[in-house]
Amino acid sequence: MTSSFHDTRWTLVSRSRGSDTQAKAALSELCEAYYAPVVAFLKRDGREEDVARELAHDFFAKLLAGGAIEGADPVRGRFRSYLLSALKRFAADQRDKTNAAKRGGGQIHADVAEGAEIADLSAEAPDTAFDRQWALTVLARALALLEAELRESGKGHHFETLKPWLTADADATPQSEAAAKLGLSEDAVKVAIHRLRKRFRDAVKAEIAQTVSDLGNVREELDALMAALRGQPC
Amino acid sequence: MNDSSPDPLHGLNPADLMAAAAMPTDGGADTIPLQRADLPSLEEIAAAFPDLEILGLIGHGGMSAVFRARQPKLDRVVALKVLPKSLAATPGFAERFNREGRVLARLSHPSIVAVHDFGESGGFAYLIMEFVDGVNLRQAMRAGRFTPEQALRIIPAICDALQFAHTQGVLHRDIKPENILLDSKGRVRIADFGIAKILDEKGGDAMLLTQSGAKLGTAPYMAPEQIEQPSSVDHRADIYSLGVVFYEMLTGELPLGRFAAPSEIAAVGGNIDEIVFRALEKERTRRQQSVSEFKTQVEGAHAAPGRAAVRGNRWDAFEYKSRRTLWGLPLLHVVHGRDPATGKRRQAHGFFAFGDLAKGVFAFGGIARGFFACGGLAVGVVSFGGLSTGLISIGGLAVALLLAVGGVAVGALAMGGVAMGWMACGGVAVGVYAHGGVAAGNHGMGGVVGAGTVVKSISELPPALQWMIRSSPYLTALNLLWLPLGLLMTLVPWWARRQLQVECGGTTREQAGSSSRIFWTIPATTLFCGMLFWLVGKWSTAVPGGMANIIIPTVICGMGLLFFVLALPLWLRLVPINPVYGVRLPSTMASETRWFAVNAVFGKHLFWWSLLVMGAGVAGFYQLPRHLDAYAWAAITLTLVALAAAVVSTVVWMRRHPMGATPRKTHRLLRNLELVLPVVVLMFFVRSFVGRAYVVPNGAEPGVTKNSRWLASHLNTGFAAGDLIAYEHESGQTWLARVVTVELKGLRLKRGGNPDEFFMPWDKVIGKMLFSYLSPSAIPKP
Repeated sequence: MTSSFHDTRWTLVSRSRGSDTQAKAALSELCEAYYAPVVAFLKRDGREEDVARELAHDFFAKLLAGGAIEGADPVRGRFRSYLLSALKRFAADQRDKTNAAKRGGGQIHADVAEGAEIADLSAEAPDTAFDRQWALTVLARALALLEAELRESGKGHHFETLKPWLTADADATPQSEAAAKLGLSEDAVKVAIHRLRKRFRDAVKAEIAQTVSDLGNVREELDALMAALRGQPC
Repeated sequence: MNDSSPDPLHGLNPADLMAAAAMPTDGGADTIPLQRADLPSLEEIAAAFPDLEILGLIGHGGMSAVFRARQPKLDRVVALKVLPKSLAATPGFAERFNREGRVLARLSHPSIVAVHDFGESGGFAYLIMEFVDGVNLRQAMRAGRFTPEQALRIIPAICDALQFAHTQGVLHRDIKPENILLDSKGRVRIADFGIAKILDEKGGDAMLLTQSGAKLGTAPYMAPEQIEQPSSVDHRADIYSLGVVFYEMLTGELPLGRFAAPSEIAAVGGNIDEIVFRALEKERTRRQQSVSEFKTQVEGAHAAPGRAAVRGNRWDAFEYKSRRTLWGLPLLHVVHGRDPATGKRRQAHGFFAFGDLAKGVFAFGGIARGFFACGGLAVGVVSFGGLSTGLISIGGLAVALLLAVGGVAVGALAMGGVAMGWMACGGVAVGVYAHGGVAAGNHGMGGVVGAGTVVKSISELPPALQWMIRSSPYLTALNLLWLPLGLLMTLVPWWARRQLQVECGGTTREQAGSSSRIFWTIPATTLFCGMLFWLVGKWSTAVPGGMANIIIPTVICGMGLLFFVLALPLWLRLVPINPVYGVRLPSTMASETRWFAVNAVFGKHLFWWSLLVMGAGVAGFYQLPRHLDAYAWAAITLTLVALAAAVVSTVVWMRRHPMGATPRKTHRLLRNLELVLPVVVLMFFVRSFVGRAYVVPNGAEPGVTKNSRWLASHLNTGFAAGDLIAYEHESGQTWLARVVTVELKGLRLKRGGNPDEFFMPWDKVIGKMLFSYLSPSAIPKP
């Protein structure tokens, strides 16, 4: 990375290997943001909701304490991949430990839970669940940011009214209705929708940019997330 | 955490949201075509389409990229249109794409680019279409090669295709110059039928595309209702778009705001205005109601009388600037006509500048200014032209500070029909020192002299004037420089226009060749003219009785010159596809690229062979009498062999460079195998008629060492006393002797060690020993 780029949180983390305070703060922010995918992974890995949450907490605690998560090299690549590989190791360790502790039949409840989960949801690998939840989180964060921005500038109702147009298949409501609701001309609504969409795209990309080490990879990451949402391997 | 809110996605479909987010935003402007960086890379495409050989990117638009690809199984080249991944991800796209794709694949018309296949591969939605080798209308218009007549010819062909599609119930929806292709044979092909529909069937998707900037770029071609109510569009929207294209072809402008009538800008009749205005009606009920109606009207306008006044010959106007620069100037700048934007005459300004107005280091044109200027009015350090001024001027009316040569010459040193200056020399010479038929001045010399001092002898004149008088034939010959320069001034603009069209056709630089290639014409034309002068000189000094002896060499030289003149334009890729001039071997006419490539190869070979043929012709002028018969046959053979060699080399090249495939690699030693035979013939010719090496077995002649090796010339370049020559002895052997005197019918010779002189007629003289290149005495004995 050259200095001409804005440092993203992930570059801060990866450059210092998480050793200075600034990097630690950045990492903690990132972890907070991407708590949900971790939980999703652990759940799909065969744990009850509350166990998964507890484990996620432990995982982040260990990660933030700078505890060695072996084999996961934060220097290159994306935060998502890093987190996932770290998480996998953590989960494996954890299972070994639990198994060791409960040798003699203690693992029964996990088996039951696993069976229930598989019956519930189409067989989705923990990785996929993680990626999918990750994509949802990115979108949610972008939307939240967008909403907050608009509310701040006193246009909260704009967001509420115009958000259906963010997606491609949203011609259910004719624009005239939205125009009437907002008291704008149709042209103005068109412009507003255009701005909203542009802002949204920017927000998503900015969000993604925080998690990659090279801004050139944003596009790639976006494609991967899209594939995750469509249930395709990336 | 995020899941604290009931629905962080506000009920929106996450996949669609992500797809919307993936639309390109770079640059932040509203209308961003796909950036090159956004395009899928060749490798990516190659990976996604394992069945195709991806040959390269043809172009990219707002929503798609088009690649040239080969289907190895069918051995055909196709165009692969790839839509972005984000689009394939939008819901409902797949069905729509399938439905529309089938309709398009059924659309079969000679003027419609056929859709061979479509589908989804590696996440990309794609269409495989017929590959059209040619340019699109936009590129053609940029090259400025449309006359109203041509526009009137092209429009009906477009109409036919559109009418056909409309009767099949297919609307194009995106008629624009980029989608109208002209193939290498000049036929019209319409591409991207209904692609617009695939991209935006529903209003919501239209919005998506508008937002992404894909449609905004073509907005000028869209009918008003297409923008306002995309769902209600019918075939009359295509008529509107066609009207815009027609207007642009005629005027070079878009009909925006209150636009001018076509007849105000271009040389067309008023009835064309009517047709265009009707097609461009905002209210579709007032437009032509079918494409065939539009076509009928346009065809009717052909015979339209009363052509409006032409405002400058703007259709012929063009400008070529080479990318290479020298001293901050473009290496070559060629202009012609007026600038359509300002209406002013264009000015060429480059290292080599060609144009009506030309300025540069070497300037050629109507009014030329430069270090070396050549043209109707030339101003330069060295100027050459009808009216030329400068330090050294040559031309009809030459005014120079130093040396003026011309019909009327005015200068410090002036020479010409009428010469005026400090020192003047010519038919009528006026000057301080004057020399000529009529000489007037202070010091005069010549036929009629009106001078203070009449000079009797040239040696009394000042040296500069003496030099002028002595070199006057050469200085006069300078005027003949017109020939090569004139040729150059015709060839270069011709080439530049060609180059412009080739570059517009999206041809890569390698195929188009480098622009400096054209400078080959300078030495080439000079050589050509020099050769012509030389031939004329030979004829004019020929001995009346010896006329027969120079006919054969002249014919051979003439053949060489003919090859030369024919080869050069082919080599420089100046000759467009045509059935008369150029190579006609199988597949040469297959495409424009192929035509130029094959002809360039043939031209190159023929060019070099033509030089050898010319050389053989020149050698003919210097043959000793004994060779003449044999020479005639040998030279004719060589000429035919040269032509055959050029053809064979071309065929070999074509075999090694099959169309649409990578060239075959040949071993370095085998690369020019086909040239072996012609080269052997050439070597025999040289050995028999130009010169050869001899070994002298005995050193009887003084100055000739035993077993020394000599290079001998067979040419009659003059003999002088003391020359060592070879002659044919009665015994049939070759003997050596020294020249004593040169006589009319032969040489008087003397052999070493023999006091007798003897006479040897020309037809027994073999040649002159030039020099010894190896002498045994120079090699130290062991």
